[in-house]
Amino acid sequence: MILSDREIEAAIRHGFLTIDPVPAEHLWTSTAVDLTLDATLVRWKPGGPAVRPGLPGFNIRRLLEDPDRAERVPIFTEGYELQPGQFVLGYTEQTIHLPKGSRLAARVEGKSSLARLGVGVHVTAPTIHAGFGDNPDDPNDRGLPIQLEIFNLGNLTVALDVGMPICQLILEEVREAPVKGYAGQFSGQKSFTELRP
Amino acid sequence: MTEITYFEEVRCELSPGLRDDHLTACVTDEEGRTQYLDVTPTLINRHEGVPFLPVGFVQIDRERRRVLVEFPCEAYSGANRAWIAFEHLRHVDRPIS
Repeated sequence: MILSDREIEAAIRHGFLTIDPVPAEHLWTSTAVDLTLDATLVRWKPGGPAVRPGLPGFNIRRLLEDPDRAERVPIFTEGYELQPGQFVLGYTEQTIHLPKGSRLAARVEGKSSLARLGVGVHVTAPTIHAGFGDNPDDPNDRGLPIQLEIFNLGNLTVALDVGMPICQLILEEVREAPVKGYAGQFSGQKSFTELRP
Repeated sequence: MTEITYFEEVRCELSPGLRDDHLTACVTDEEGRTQYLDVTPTLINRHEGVPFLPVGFVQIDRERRRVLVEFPCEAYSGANRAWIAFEHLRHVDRPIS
């Protein structure tokens, strides 16, 4: 079931969901909340040997941190010009946390205003799973930004600006407590004792 | 004296679920009300053939010998939590001298 704006707001208020900072009023719609673009993009450098994600041990994070493969690009005041056919990685300004116990998952989707220009924000990977942003070492952690795969399929150059609404977050209820990520919860292993005559 | 250890599982009765591959688990709260939950069969634990619904402990009320438990999914009634009598939890009894 998709959460309405009122349910999203209530979930934030009761700590079942963190969106930090909470987007301004004009970024809310009836069943979604818009997230905004952070100030840094990551651009892949062309060339080099083929990337083989099917091999054991493939690590996208390592690839992102390899200066021969990727570069960080700040967005200046004039915006970042996304050329036709170009692909960059971006991040939301907001961090997201979906605590496991809240039984919420989410999807990040594009915005029609950008879609009409040919700009998409994810490449077939829209799901934000229950437990996203959980930090076992710090229960008060405010979560993680959402990484976006931004591409331009149109024939116009489209400027990306810091703080522009870039995607929408749709919250959904998870019907039954999942197995994965729920070690120790609903496993029937916790106990207490009493003494009876 | 007997030392009784209670686990995070509530005795339940099973009947066909809303879908062919689901079950309805029926548990009884401390006031005798029944709560029905639509669950997947693998969620149910069995001990010596008796089905138990795994739950989470929220609060233990030793004085009234009841536990506030969190269900693994919302009951048909809309309830997510219920007070359950100690006796309805899975327990292991150990006589001590």
